[in-house]
Amino acid sequence: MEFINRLINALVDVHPLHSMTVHFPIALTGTALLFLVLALWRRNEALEQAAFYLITLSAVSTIVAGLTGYRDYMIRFEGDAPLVNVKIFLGVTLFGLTTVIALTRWRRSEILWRPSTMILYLSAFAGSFGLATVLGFLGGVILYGF
Amino acid sequence: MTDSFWKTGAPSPRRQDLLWPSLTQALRQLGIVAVMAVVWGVLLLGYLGLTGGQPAEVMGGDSESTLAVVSPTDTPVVALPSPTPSPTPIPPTPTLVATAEPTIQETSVPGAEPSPRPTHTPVPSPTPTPSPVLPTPTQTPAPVPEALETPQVSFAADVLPVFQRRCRNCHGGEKTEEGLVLSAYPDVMTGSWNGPVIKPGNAEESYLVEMVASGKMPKKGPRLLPSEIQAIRDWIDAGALDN
Repeated sequence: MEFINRLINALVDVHPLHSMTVHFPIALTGTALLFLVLALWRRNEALEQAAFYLITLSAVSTIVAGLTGYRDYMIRFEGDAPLVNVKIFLGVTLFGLTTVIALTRWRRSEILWRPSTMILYLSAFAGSFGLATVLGFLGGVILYGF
Repeated sequence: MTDSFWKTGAPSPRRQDLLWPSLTQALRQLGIVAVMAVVWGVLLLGYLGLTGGQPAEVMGGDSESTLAVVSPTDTPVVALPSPTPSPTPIPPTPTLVATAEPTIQETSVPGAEPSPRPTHTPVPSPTPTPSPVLPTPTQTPAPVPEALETPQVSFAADVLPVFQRRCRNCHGGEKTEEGLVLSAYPDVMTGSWNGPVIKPGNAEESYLVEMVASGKMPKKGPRLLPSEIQAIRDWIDAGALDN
């Protein structure tokens, strides 16, 4: 029981949750982009489907990262963290972009394989990975300075 | 496209008839991407304009602490002995204040690496510009006092506010991480469970300075401003007095 209490205390009070959860969108968008490029290279539908699942998961994990980020901002930084405005804007954009990608791919499963939408679809994946990376960089600036 | 290949164990289907975009299709899609990027950029700039951009601390523009160091009414006027106290408040004059200002600004550049304090060579006193309105004793040309060579830093006025503003959450009485309390002079000099964190007269070897200068402290929130770190350094180098 003591261990459980310490674990709960560590998760709720000691460790900043945002620092843990932000790695999910970064990793998932990056892997999704990788799988999409591999799908195009190998012309493999399984890889393309995996990319779709990964980008869907990244949309969900972005919500979690945003909520924990706001919690840490209010509790650990007492509402006085730098770069908050930029991070909120980029985070909302990332969530919107990944959601649109997932919904569009869900409604139109051929979106990657059609020449008229291939580049758009690929660019959206690259953009979401770029956004997640910039968000991670800004988080590092807050913690470690620039 | 079938999606049951992973259920049946059949080889994943391959797109043998994949068509690459033509030049027109590629240009059109890239154009859409560019337009959307521009719109997004405009929205971002508009949003930052509406919300005021970044907090001042990131930009190194913490006006309160910066002014506390750079303000011409600070050290020089205090350091100068005034033979006759003036009954009326004297506005800041550009006479001797100007001698000390550059030396302080030199060490409070935002983003500057913490470095040993520059050696302050005696600065020749500038030619006083006689004011026709308020001739004050501070305008008389006088040799630069010894006190001007080292910045006058007060613990109560310059250092303690920094501790209270930036350190009190973890080292302020209610929470005393590592046993270190920074809410009063005796506690500051006592140090932590591991011993003193300040070596009077030697800021470079003071653990507290090492922590804040390297950015390891404060753990929560942004780093201390260079001007705040410099105030702590100057106070320690001056002997870490309870002044």
